[in-house]
Amino acid sequence: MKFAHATHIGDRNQPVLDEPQRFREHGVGRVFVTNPASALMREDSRDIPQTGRYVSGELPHNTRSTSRASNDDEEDPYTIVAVTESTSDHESRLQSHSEYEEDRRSPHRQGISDGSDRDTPKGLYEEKKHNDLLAKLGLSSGDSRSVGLGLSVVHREGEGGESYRVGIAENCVRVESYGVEDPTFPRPTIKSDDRRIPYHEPKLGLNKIQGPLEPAYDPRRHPRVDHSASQSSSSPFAQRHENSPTLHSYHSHTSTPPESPVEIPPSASMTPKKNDRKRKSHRPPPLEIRKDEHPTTLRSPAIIVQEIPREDDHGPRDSLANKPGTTVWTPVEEETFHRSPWEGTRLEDYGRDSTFSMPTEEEGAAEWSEAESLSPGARKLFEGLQDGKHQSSTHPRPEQISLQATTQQGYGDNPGDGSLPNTEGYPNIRRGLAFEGAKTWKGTLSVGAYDNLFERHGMVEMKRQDVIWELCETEMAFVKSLKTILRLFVQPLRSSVASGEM
Amino acid sequence: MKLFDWLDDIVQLHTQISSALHLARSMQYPVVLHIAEHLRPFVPRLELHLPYLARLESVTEEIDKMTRDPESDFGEFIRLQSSNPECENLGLSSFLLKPVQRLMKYPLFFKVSLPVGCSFGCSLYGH
Repeated sequence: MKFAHATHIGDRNQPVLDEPQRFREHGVGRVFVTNPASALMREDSRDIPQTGRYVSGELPHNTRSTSRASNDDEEDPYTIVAVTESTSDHESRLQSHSEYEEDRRSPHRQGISDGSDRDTPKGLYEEKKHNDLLAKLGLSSGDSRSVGLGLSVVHREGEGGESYRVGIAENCVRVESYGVEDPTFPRPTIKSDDRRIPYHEPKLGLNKIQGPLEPAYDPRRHPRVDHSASQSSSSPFAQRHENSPTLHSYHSHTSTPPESPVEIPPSASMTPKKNDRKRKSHRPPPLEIRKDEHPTTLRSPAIIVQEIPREDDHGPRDSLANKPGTTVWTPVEEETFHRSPWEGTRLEDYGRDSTFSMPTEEEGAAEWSEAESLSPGARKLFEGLQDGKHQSSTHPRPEQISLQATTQQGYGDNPGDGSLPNTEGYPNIRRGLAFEGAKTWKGTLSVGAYDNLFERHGMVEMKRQDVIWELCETEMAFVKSLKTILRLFVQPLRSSVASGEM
Repeated sequence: MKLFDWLDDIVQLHTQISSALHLARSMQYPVVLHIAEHLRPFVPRLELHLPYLARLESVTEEIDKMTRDPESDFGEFIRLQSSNPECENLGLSSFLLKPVQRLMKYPLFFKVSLPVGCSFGCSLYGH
């Protein structure tokens, strides 16, 4: 049992030393007036439940008073116990509203006095200010005065064994309330069916939050407490104790974060509700695809991939196919993917790339054998094409080749349009290129190496590399053909001229 | 015989061009990113084709006339050499057209292989 004595206790206040005993006798919620002059009143009011409202003038001046305001003494665990001392030079001030603790330095406190000079103009002025303040606080004015002015009692919510923390104002003594430390103190028990105060049965381990004094306290997790039920005027408890400091002290802690872990009822869960989820959803709105819109094609229609099947490329697939996330295609799938619009039309001719050599006799025979399976009309057409091919393969006379025709034919003006060079009238070119025997720059690389370069440089660069490679190869073939001319025609003529034969 | 002299110079020039291209390919294998700088020094030397082209048509006509003449020894020599498998049934006149055809292919190659705005391509096209 803990009880704090006043620091300035005179001889007149000697009987106050028996306050603990008196507390035990009357239980919680009694109001004690310790002034001997008011002993009669104290005896009379011993069995009368006090409401915490004091009639003006009943509280004698310059007395040491002990107040204990409460209702339904034995059942209210939030009863405030406050003891203040008042001597001839000190005013006894009791305050049981926690907002006074927060507003301790407010000028309104100056008007809350015991009213020793209430009959003077100054006293009337002080009383008027006091009434105004009470009106602001929602208390009834008039003959009532708040008890414990200057002393704020802050209720600390928690288990019943915790002692109350009492704020000390000026000219006030430190008071500590009873707790479970005192086994003799009659500790009331709270039942869940008590309708006066909403009480939730504590459930340990569920929705437990930490107090603000704890290191890991997060104020955002502080639960919201609905006080509408407890503050409702329809409650009989609130109606009966509207001005009771007990009531206000009980509700005063709403503005104070709990210092001890508080159990949150399941209804106050921090989990967002279903509607909240909908409202706070950050998912992007669903894409709307209109019917008249066409999906973007992966390939630009202006770019046509011209791939040539590599029949001679049997190199191993390099590490690109072994990389994670790389789709390894079968040769059939790869061929289907790389198939160009040209393929299927003149694949056998373009398979030799820029050489543009005419099909050999074996190839022609094979084509004829394939044509035998065609219909008569198709066969006739195919035979006509074969004849045309053989006619074009005949070597034209050099006189028929003109420079003008050379400038108008050859590669298409647009390299990307997929047009093939027309070398029908230029067998020299075709034969010269066929002499080279090479096919494409892509054929010189392995599949994996080409794919790696394709990913690194892109399709346009691959096309450019093909052209550069063809430039080099044709240049070598050109030089080789010119050297052949010199060796076959020029050198014998020079030697004969030198010898004087011609 | 002067036409053959010019042809000999043309062969020497294109041999150097071919060597330069081979060097560029070997230096930048497998992707040749810079080709113009290897070809730029040979651009002015392509003027060797001018005297050759100036005399080609007349010389070609004279060669064809002599080839058709069975009594011409030069014609007989051309027919004999053209039967060589290396000639692939091509006559001397067809071979003499090769430098012309080669020059006509250069713009087509450079149009693709050189990027847009390249000074070499612009100088080649006369822009």
